[in-house]
Amino acid sequence: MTDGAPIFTLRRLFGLIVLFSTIRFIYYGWVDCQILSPIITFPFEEFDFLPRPNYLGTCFLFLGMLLGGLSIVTGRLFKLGCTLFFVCFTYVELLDKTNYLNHYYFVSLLSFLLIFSSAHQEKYSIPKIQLNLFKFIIGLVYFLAGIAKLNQDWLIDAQPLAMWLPAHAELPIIGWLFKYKTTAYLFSWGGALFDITAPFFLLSKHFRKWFYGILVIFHILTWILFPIGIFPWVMICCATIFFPAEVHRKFWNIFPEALKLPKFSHQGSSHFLYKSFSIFFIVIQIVFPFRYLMYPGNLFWHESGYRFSWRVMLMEKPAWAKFYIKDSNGIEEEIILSDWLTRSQIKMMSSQPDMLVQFSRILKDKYLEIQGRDIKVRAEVWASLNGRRSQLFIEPFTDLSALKNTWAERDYVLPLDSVISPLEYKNLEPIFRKQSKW
Amino acid sequence: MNMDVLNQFNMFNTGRNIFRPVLFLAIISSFLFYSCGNGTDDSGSAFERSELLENYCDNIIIPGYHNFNEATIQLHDIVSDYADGSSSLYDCREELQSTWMSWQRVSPFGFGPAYNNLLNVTVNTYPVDIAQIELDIENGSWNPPVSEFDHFGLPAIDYILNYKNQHTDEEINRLLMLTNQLVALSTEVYNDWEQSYADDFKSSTGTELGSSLSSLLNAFNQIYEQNVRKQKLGLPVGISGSIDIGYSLPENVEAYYANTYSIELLYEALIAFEDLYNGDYYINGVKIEGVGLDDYLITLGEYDYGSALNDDILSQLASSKSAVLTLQNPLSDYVVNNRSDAIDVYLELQALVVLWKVDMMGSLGVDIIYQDNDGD
Repeated sequence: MTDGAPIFTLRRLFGLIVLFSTIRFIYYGWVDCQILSPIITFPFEEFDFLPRPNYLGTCFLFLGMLLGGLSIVTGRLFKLGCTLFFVCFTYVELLDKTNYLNHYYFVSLLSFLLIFSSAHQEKYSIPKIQLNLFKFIIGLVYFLAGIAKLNQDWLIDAQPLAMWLPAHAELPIIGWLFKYKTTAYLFSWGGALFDITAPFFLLSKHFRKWFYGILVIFHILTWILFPIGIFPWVMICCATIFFPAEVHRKFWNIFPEALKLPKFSHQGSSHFLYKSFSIFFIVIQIVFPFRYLMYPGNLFWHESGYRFSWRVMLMEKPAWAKFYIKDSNGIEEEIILSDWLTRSQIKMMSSQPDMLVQFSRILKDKYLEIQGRDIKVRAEVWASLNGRRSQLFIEPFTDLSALKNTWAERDYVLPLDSVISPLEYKNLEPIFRKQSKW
Repeated sequence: MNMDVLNQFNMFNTGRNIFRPVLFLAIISSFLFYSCGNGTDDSGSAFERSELLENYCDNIIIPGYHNFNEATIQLHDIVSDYADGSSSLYDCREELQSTWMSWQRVSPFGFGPAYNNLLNVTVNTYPVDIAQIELDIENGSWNPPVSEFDHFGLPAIDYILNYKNQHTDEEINRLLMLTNQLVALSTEVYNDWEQSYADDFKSSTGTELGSSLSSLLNAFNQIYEQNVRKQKLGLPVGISGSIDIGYSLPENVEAYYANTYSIELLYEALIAFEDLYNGDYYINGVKIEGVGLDDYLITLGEYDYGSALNDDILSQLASSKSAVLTLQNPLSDYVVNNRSDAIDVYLELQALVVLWKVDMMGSLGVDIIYQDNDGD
């Protein structure tokens, strides 16, 4: 048993952030443009049985997040409130792959762990394993985000930073740095080094203090440079868990009496179920991000096993998809994507193979439902990965609506090294068409 | 790295082993920074987005709208003269052509004032609905367009002026309404730019969605793809997207009733996009090189996503232009009689779309959606 001050801090700050984040989400009008107004959505296949909420349902989900957030901050009705937050928040995230963000996944995981913690019982000590479990997941996020940066694009070509940073050359004070490609290398290598070493420095008594300073600067810099939302603040708050309990108590002593952490008494012990749960959780979190090793080819290109693996800011992958349908009459028609999808759905779908398949299947269903036509769907997609020139992304004459998103290899994605350029395609297209069953 | 930090590393080395790999990585990476810094020519030439926006605004967009506005006024005046017999039908037709030409120069700016005033759809939606135009003439009253634009603007004027050689009072009356509307709209948009929007445009130097560059590039890509590539040539040759319907649709050409300068309009549009890309403008007919997207790509360095991309865009522009010059007026006949040649030209125009919309947009680091993004 140990002093739970670090977890109490985590709970309070995390609660504040999720409250802020929920209000920000509503204030920016994203409820409407991300949840209510899209005609179709891209649910995660494993969860596509979840019904899409209507207006009232969405209100309840966000009310749930707000009430849950309040409960997390205050610690009142904590188990119930935290569960409410976890369910509502995760529900919304599962509705549409378009809006997937690593830090949303992180927020889901943290709120999930909080449900089973004693983070609300500030008057008692807590089992040490709880504290360590939080340290583990937070350290792991850094570590794996660093490991994910150990690839050729990031280290050798300094991509995508070499393209992203020069766009900020007009920032005051530091802007001039971004004109230089050396800066992109510095940031790439520095970023990888930072991420990989972060858990170790944070665990070390000697370095924790100054490393936390670097951590704050690092995250604020990413907040200035990239549109990554609340992620920097989540990490800045979460990393405090590595500080010993005394530091946390000192911190809260700055505040008025009501906010100070109360004196605690030693009580209770860890349940054996919690230990098994922890081991299970740890094993999954370590293994799951490496599932990409099952798939041959370039991970950034086919994106099998890309999500839920702490891959952040690793890709600039603009793409342009043109969809064609054909029914039994044999006449091909081009689909106007904006008739079906929002701008961000178009952007996200165009570069992510499973979403291309998913859209094709939805399109097939909709045509059958609305017009009674049985259609095939194909897509000509051009994509450019991390500064490479654009090339044909998927097989252009495969009926995507006949495919199914599974955990199997995505063999409809052309290999990254089989470069078919737009100019070559002019001559190749008739050949592809003839060879296919389209 | 300062000495304190190094000392701490030393202290550490004697302490826990876990930090050895860290130190190792640190040394390797400092070595790499050093070699990267020296290995390539990293002059870090500066690119100022504010200069680009200023050049676009002051030298290209506002003068463009000024010229278009003048052209519409002149068109309206000449049609008025035609109404009272002091100018000829020939003069009207000539003036329509030059108005149409000057429109090509501003069509890429379909955001901000143009978007708010529905300028692009009102000025140049074709093919026209002839039956509706005849109804409008008969009807004699003015109802501005709300959702159906295919009986307004230059294409409607083209139909009335060029389809018939004599005009009734009702037809002339309708002509005047149409030209008058063009004057009103172009004046509105020009004034918006001149009086207020220019300052907003130049001061929004960021890269986020809604910033000037983001709005401009969105319009740039969309209008080139839809209104130049597809509309001016793709639909007439019977290609929608990459679907070849197997026969041409000649009535889809721009300026179908005049039928003598559809290619000039297409060529002018292509040059407008080329000049915009390069940031070039004209003073008294002399071309002056200004700051453009080409300069941005060049400052990124000699990479596939930098100056090499610019080279490819320029050479594709050159081959697109020479391809367009192989077309022959009347385009509506050419797309029927030389269909496969016309399709080849179309494919040249299409090759630019990918270069601009995918490759260039990746290099520019401009947000096109309004949402948090972790680079996934």
